[in-house]
Amino acid sequence: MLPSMSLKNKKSAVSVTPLSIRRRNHSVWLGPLIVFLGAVSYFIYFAQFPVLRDFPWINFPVVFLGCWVNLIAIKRAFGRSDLYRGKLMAVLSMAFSILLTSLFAGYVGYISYQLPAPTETTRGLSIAPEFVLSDQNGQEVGLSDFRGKKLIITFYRGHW
Amino acid sequence: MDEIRALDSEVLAISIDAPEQSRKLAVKKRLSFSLLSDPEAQVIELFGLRHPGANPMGEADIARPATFILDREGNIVWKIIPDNWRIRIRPQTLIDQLGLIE
Repeated sequence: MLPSMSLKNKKSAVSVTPLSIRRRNHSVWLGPLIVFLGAVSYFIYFAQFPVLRDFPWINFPVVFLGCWVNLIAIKRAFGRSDLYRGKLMAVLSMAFSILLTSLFAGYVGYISYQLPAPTETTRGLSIAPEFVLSDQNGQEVGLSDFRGKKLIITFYRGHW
Repeated sequence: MDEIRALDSEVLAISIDAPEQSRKLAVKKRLSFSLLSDPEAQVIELFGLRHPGANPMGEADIARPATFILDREGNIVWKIIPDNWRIRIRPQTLIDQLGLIE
């Protein structure tokens, strides 16, 4: 009996650690979370600072940090599957991080450039055409009200 | 804004937003200049700044961003028509330009 028991013990010693006691791979959720916060915080916070708005000096590094953490998750899940669980989750979270990073980079580098070219009308303007419009208090404001003053007229996209 | 007024200058901002919406924005951001409402984009059209198809919600096309500086006679002496709606003109650039006008 004894020899066969010791053989059984040996066998269980080489088998992988049971799923239930393998370590949680925290970088699996930490990675996409960092990417998400890195992208969203641009719009809700950092875009109010001109330097950080023109180029996302903070948001790009944060987003890439998230991807790097996610890469660690992949390495752990596949390279050390004896220690860490969650291969599928690692792949899904990596896909999420890459998608969100692409969307954010695409918005900054491409989508926000999708404006019509300046028209001939705009380029040819040398005298501002007269207009009267209602201001935020319902007051009529005309261009001629400002004759004798210097004026900045800015057109913005608004919130519709 | 005080710096701009010190140069005997005013600011008008134009969009298709309704006055009611502009009022909310002005209160929220404590804006002291006029936000003008051009709901049918007529003035936007006069300046050649319609962005066709950019407003899937309403009937009127929104404005593409652009900024003009007018001298005391209403001549356009400086303009910027950016190619990106994310990157905005710095107030200091405008103040510098206003300083160049008599």
